[in-house]
Amino acid sequence: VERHQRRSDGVDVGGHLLLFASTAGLAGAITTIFLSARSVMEIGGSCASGGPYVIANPCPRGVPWLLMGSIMGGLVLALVMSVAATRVGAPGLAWLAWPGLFLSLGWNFWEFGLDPPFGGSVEWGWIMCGALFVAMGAGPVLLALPGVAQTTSDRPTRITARAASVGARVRATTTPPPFRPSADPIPSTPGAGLVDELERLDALHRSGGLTDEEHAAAKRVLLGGGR
Amino acid sequence: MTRRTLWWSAFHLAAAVTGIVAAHALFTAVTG
Repeated sequence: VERHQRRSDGVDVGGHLLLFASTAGLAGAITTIFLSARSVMEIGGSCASGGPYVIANPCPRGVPWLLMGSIMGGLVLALVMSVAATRVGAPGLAWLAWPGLFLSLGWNFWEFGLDPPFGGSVEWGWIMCGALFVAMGAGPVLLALPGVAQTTSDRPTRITARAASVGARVRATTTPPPFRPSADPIPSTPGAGLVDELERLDALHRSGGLTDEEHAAAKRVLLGGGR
Repeated sequence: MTRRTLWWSAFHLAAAVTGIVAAHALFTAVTG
């Protein structure tokens, strides 16, 4: 049963709306994580909220809920985006959330690590985190570059072509020549020339093994005149 | 670049920009 909302020209409007909304939601979730991380790093990199104790470094208002909600919501939205893309035949781009998340958070680590908001010259802990996050985020992007993807996808083809070439050479050296039934009624000795064949044919004729007609016919065959 | 690639690039770009702008507005509204 076709339950997708479709216009008369066959465009899946519902699927496109779902893809647009989930893509926007996923981008929004990553943006929220990015902004939440910045707001926490501005106050030193850690905070707490709730609980019975006096909190030395309270979190910015609403940030814990925004952060949790955007992480959980982002995971769900990435799944919805993939499903919606498949439904409308769009390219699958939900994987871009991974480099989007790690590169943006890596940016935060580098920015605040090089110029810590609480003083000091360089915060090496954040720089290390930044290096790790950038490596994690950039890896999939580098793998997805057209040149790299083409090289990877060509590899099986090249291997198959090479295997076929080797196989053809092996067959060429091991396969016996095809059997060709000879039109010659007299078996020929390997290496015997036409003269030898004719002499043997004459000898057979003289000994009475062949009639005149048979001898003439065999001679025509040997000389290439056909039967 | 085919028309299909252009279409889906513009589609996803528009969606992403919408989401980013909305998230900025939401974050500012919540955190003040």
